[in-house]
Amino acid sequence: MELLSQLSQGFAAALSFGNIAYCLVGVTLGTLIGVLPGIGPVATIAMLLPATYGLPPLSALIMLAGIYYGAQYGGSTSAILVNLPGESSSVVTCLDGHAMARQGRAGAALGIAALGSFFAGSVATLIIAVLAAPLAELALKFGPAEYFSLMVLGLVAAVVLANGSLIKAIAMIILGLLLGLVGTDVNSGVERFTFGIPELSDGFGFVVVSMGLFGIAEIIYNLEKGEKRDFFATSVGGIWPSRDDFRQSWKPVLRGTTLGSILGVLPGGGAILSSFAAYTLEKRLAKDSSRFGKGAIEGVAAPEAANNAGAQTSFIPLLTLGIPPNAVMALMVGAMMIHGIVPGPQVMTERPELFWGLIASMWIGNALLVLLNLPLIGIWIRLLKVPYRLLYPAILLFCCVGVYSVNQSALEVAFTVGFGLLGYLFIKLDCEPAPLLLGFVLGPLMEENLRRALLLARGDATVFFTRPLSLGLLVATLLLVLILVLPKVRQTREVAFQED
Amino acid sequence: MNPLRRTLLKTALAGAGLGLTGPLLAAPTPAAFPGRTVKVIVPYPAGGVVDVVTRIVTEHLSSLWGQPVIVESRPGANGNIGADAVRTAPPDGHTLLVGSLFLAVNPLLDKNAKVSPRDFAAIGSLGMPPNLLVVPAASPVRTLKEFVALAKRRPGELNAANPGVGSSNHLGTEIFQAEAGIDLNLVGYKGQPPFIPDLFNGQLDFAFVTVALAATHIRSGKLRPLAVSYSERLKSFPEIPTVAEAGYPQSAVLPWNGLFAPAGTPAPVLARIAGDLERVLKLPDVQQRYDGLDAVNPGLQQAAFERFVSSEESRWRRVITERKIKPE
Repeated sequence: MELLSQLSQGFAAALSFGNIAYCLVGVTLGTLIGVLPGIGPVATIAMLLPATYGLPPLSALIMLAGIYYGAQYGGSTSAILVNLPGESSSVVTCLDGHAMARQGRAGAALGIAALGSFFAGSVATLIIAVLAAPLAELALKFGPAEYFSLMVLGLVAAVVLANGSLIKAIAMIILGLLLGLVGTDVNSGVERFTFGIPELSDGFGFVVVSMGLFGIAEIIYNLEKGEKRDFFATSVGGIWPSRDDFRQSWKPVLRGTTLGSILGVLPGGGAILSSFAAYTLEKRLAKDSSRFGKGAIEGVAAPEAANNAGAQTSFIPLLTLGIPPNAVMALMVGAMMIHGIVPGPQVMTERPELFWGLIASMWIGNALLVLLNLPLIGIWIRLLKVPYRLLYPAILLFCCVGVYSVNQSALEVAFTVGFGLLGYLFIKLDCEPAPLLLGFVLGPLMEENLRRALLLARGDATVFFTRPLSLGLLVATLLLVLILVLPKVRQTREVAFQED
Repeated sequence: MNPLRRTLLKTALAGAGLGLTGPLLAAPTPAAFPGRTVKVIVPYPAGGVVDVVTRIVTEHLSSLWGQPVIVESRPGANGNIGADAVRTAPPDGHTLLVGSLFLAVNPLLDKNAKVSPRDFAAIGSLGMPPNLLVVPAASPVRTLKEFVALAKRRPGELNAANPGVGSSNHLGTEIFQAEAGIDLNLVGYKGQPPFIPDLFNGQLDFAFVTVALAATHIRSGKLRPLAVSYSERLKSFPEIPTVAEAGYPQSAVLPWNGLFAPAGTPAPVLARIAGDLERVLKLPDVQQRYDGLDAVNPGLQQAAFERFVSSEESRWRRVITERKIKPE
């Protein structure tokens, strides 16, 4: 058993006292910045990078990786408690997680999120250990045409995210796509809709848009309603998920883990889709999909499992191909380069103690996170008892600090406020921001890959249908459209009959 | 005389020769620098090659000066945002910029660009890993000449990666096409890592890619290097010919970078920093770590570096006009 000996070598390296300590520091910091709105792992790792110079490379990587997946745990906390998604992955958690909190079930939501994440993280780590190399080969089969088709599937699925009017959901997706157009065109270098503002030449930041639409808008709305937030504290007694909750959640966690593990491997932005995809799948599979958006525990369990699984498996393209799939992984490349390690397939053979040590540390880290997060739930819930007039200025302050920390730009803080006002308007108009955010995130990726695929095929649009993987994804999209449309057709027919 | 004093004297003399003295003699003496924390702004995301290369040097500058030297990442607008922050900072040497190719190229591509090389005083070049001209392992070509022959047989059909308009990779590919008389189909990407998978799966036929990213894939046999886009061969890959040796001397395009101060920084301060930078770059630790990254440094200081930057400007002004690169 080569794998066992490699893993034991990894654990031997990761279980040294120093490395456990660095792992603990990493995951604790990660949880903390995850909870604080806006201060994401990118800014934190960037700040800590110089501090890792003096550390042995393995300790440095263990700590930085811990910050990354620790932030995934913590991110769900602020999403559930105060409707603030700090990371793209926790946008979906807001939908049902915050609804659960409003029903006084914040503890159940937090508990399921932590346990689901732990399960997903452990499974995904096992997947990295066993299947990293073949999965990386699969990821290479994904070219621009495949990414485009995947993004189309994702966008159509975004319609499912909404609970209300279909027309409004589509309108919000399109608005998101339009917002995503702001920035520099990849092929020609022309700036679009930037109005000569240099800060816009890379487009709006995700944190800016999500923080405004969700966090700030929610605060304005709550203040308008006055201090009637007693619903949060009604049933503090039941801070743990009940037996029923577990019964409802274990299948969604399994499905979320599977989806997240697969999408996380794709270096071209697959991980972004993982939590959205898991949520969509659960809503479709549910017997009564109307519960979603109103506090369905499956709507927390599945996406939380998916985003944590995706966070772990996104190490695969980095460790096996040397290709960083997102900004955090790009920082990990920097951390490795500082120590003279070139990430890529050689790491596994030339520095096995590093590769396997990092994988082993992810297990240890996930276990530490559960031990850390479960006792914290009680404290987080007590936080909700803080009067809102004291809580909201603090949230606003952290939002501003968080947005500022991304690019040290005061203008971006102003943009966030602007999106906050827009979000308030959306609440008034009964339009949901989640589809807009997905359109905003996927739109640029979709355009980039569409044009890239067409350039590579010299304008031959059949490329999307002749490449088997791409065709498969488009067929899946078509099926999803049919599933979406059919009940509507049935409903209209029923309405028609009633009128007869 | 210790080496530092000697360097200082030399640079001061060089400055005098260029008529930089005169009114500047009344400026604060080098003793006023460094009076506090020195901030070095890297206009790229933290953790990138430029960031790493900078930190190797600032670490030693910090211990030399007995003051913290902070590297601050201010990415955005292809370097313009970070550069603008330094342009408007007090010209006293405590805020420095790591400027690179973008300083010379941005004003040529973007009429709204707020910064130009004239806004800065050049201190000295740092190092950067050069680009390699690579093809996928499955490609039939073994040498750059063979690639050019293939491209001539199939004009406009071979796909080449373009990780950003105005990047060294893009400009290198343009100048190489002009020099070799070939026509490649350029496909846009956001940065270099995203196009690597498309090279592996054969959708791309060619790329200018930094050795920092390509080295591991060359060793694992997935990419085949044809030439180094620099005037010298690399220590870690001595078997790869330079573009000049492969027959295309114009195609040497280094993504150079270096330390700049806001224009108007007193000459003695510039000379002090330049001298210390030169000294730090010679340290065995820095050399060793630069070699580990395959970073090469043209070793230019102050006036020579400034001349190099203007030569880059005129070179790229010509290429951008001739190749019609400017976005409309």
